[in-house]
Amino acid sequence: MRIRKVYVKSFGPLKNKEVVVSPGLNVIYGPNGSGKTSLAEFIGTCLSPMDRKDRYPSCSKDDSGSVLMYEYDGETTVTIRGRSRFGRVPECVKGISPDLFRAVFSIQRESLTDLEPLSPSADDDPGYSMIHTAAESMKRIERSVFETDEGGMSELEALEVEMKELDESIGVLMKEVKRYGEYASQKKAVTERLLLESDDSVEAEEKRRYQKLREDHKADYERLKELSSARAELGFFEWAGNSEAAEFKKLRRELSDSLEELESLKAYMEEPINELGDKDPSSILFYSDDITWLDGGRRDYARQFEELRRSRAQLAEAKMVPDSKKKSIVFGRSTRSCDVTKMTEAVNDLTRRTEAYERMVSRITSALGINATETAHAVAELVRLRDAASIVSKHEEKLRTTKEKADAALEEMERLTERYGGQEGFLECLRKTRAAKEMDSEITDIRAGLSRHGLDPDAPICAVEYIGIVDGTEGLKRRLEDLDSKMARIMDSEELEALMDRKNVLSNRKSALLWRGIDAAIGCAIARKVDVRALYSGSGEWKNAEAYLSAMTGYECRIRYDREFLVECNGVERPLREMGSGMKSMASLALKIAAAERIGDGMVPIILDEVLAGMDTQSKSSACRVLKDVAKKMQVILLTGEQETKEIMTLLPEVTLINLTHAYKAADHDDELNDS
Amino acid sequence: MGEFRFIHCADLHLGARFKGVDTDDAAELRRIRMAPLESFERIIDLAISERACFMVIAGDIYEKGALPATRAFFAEQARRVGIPIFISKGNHDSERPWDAAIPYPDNVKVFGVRPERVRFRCADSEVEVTGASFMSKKEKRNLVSMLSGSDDAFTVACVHCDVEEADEGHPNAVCRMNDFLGKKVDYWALGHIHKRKILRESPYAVYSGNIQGRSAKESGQKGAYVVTVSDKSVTNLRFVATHSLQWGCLDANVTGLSMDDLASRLSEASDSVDIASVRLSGTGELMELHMEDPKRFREELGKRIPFILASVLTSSEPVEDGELATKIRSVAASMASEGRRAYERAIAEGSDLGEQARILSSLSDSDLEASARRASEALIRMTGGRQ
Repeated sequence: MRIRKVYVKSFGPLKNKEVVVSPGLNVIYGPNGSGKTSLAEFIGTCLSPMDRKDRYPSCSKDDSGSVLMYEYDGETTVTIRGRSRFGRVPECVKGISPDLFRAVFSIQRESLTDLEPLSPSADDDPGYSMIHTAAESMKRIERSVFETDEGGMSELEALEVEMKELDESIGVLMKEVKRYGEYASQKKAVTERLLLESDDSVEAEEKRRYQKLREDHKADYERLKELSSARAELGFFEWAGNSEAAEFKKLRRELSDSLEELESLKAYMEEPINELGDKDPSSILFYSDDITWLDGGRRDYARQFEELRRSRAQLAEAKMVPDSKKKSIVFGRSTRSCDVTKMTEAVNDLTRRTEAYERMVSRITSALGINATETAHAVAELVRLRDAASIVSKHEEKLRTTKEKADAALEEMERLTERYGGQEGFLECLRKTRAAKEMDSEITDIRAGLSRHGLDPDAPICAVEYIGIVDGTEGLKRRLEDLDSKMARIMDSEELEALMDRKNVLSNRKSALLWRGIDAAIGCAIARKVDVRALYSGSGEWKNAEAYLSAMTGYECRIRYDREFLVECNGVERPLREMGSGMKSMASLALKIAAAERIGDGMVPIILDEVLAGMDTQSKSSACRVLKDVAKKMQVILLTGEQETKEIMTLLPEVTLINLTHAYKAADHDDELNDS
Repeated sequence: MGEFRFIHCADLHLGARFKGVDTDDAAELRRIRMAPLESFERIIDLAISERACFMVIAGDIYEKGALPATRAFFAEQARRVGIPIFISKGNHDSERPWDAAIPYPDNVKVFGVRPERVRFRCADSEVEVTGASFMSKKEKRNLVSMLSGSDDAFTVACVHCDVEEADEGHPNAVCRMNDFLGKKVDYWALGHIHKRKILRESPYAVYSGNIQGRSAKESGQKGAYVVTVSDKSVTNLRFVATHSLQWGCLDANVTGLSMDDLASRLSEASDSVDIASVRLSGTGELMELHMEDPKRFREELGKRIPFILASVLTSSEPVEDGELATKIRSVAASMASEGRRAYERAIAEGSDLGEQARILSSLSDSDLEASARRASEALIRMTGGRQ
């Protein structure tokens, strides 16, 4: 959550102030009485957890319509009107008590060193002190389940390792178990063969010969089996013929050619079409001859127009020469007499001609709906339009026929591939057809070959035929014994059963353990939320505070908790409460920032009101640097009236400095308020 | 016309193991593994002693752990009883690679996936058995609606199905109560639901339940029905317990108890229970021992009781309504509703184990809620809640 903007219409002494802040470190400065504390209180009031009994004191009836805008799951605003607050407070603030919120997120100078809200309270404790112990024990349980102990493995990991080993052993045994059916059919075949071997009748001899022959063609049978299963895998499909394939190829070529041409035509026509806009090229071309004439007369018209302008000017200048019927015209300094009547005639003639030209232009432009005030421009526009129109009309026909060609090709293709389920389907069927043809011809060949040798290509392939019995009856007997013992071993499944028993126990144990760990983890989270204070009194929870204090004191001091906060400087450890005010301020600030970081999870900004005032220059500048680091994790707003702090901050990069005195907001805010 | 009897059972789940059991004792494990087999053996004994005319098994004969030996066992028992056995396969009866190598004897008839009827005579009465098997693990057809009998014979329909309610994502041949009517079937022998239940009479529609409980949820007696038929109608329906191990779920308040006290209380309460989950409530030393060292707790208690200790749980029933308890519960409730995010953050604060993130992603909201409830009760117990 980041504050983006604070607008205060009226809150205590603040009137009509607007402050836009950055997501990192902000320093708002102003002299005493400029309203810094009120601003801090306003922000605090906006964000603090709702508590009816514990209202902010400065919130009074005339504090109307002030807005805090912040980012939390998208943009959100909080508005304060009178004694009511509107808007949503972030989830992570909700579980915190108002006094803890104020102690760590909205820190005032006078309450900086008050660490009471961070410490466990002994009085009227209905078991709160116990919750820390409970949480610790939950934590222990959680760790015992999930975390690696010094032996190297967590209980869970150890279980999983054993389960994995079990799975492997079970897998190996199961693989053999699954062959039971295979062994059984082999056994059947071996038994039959054994009967055959011990029979010396003519029929048996013939059978043996036949089987020998089959074994010699083992590869053919296997290939046949392979082919027929691959052939069956093709499934049902429409047989696509060669002529259709050729036709399809031709159509596809046609289509792509047409489309290509269409593209290039469109590209070529793009500019003229743009030029025409919504104008119809045929209506422009209707005036094509006129426009050509106008274009040809453009130069004449320009000359005449110029002459007319000059002549008219001259006529206007003409003055009557007293002793003559002629008028004289002053050209510069010289005066020249001329025949006014003649000139007037010439002017009238020019006027007629130019006007005829202009009328024609305006007739065409108005007919075509062109807005042009100046004749010359209008003619140029007309010429441009005519050129565009002629290009467009010339290519339009071509465009149409090309499109028709493409459509026809596409339609033809669709018709062709309709029963194959479209183009994709056709290509698929084509591929399958080719594969099927190859397979079928190979199958035919192999079958013919087998038949030539007097073998039945359809005789089932028996597993035992290819076992390769080398020494007749003896080999078969050994084989039978082997199969029998294998099958007996599978039937005697005690070992496998025991492994599966163990696996079941382990998986039961694992799920119980997992739930124990998850329950404990959730328990920790609940405890943390029920009373944050209790958890923060635990030792080891203050590592960040220690780091901050260490940085503020030039790495000389450390802080830890053991029933109370203890500070160690240069090897001497003393309770924090006995320390001087400067150290107290620094240590408290470090502790509170650390607490804010842990509680707010970087999601809640901290407002610091004049908290650096009690420190010396050295400490102040270290503290400022620490704040700058903190601002990387959460938004920090520091309010100060001190010149020194302001100057230190000015020298640091990435700090937003805001002068509260000048932070007025002009106008247009009332509307926004009314909207919200 | 004479009187005859037949046996109805279902959900044998041969090869199944128990849920929630945690023991290293090999003999106990063997007893558990053998339990469904023993129960089935007793059902066969029952059929012989009752001189049953035939048997119907309404599906789920095998469980995942079934091996060739398990099938051989079933075939052997079928051979021993000799009478016709009719089977309609359920969702657990998918084909196994050794099925063909271990054939059932001829007195066993496994119905195909389409309805089939077999007609024969029992004590001079015409009897017809009809049934249909599941096509796969998920059966979307309404098998019951596909079956019917004949007017001139006493008809038993054997089928594995769900009635009225469908299991989300697992259709199990769901049918409606009305589907049992007007089909000329006199007895619907049903399987799939592990709790035995007589859905209706005339015609009868009966779940015989499974033959051996497999978790604390499946407590009580388990077995088969002996159905007596006379003059084309059911005159008696009798349940016979055949289970090998009876499951129980025992509750105990451990406040102020020693281990010996707890053991003797449980022993008194256990009665005919052979294996049980124990659910603890209350507070005190025993509760603490259970929380801190559940393994030792189990060992100590296991030694002192006459039944197999399957698992020890804590009851999530409220302990006490103090101020703190209320607050803990309300936080737990808000955490569950705030859901994963709050929990994830809490976890991230505590430790950044990949394992937890992995588990978390597999938890449903209701799991999370239940866990939050258990955790909150545990916290209340630890902070000194008293009952």
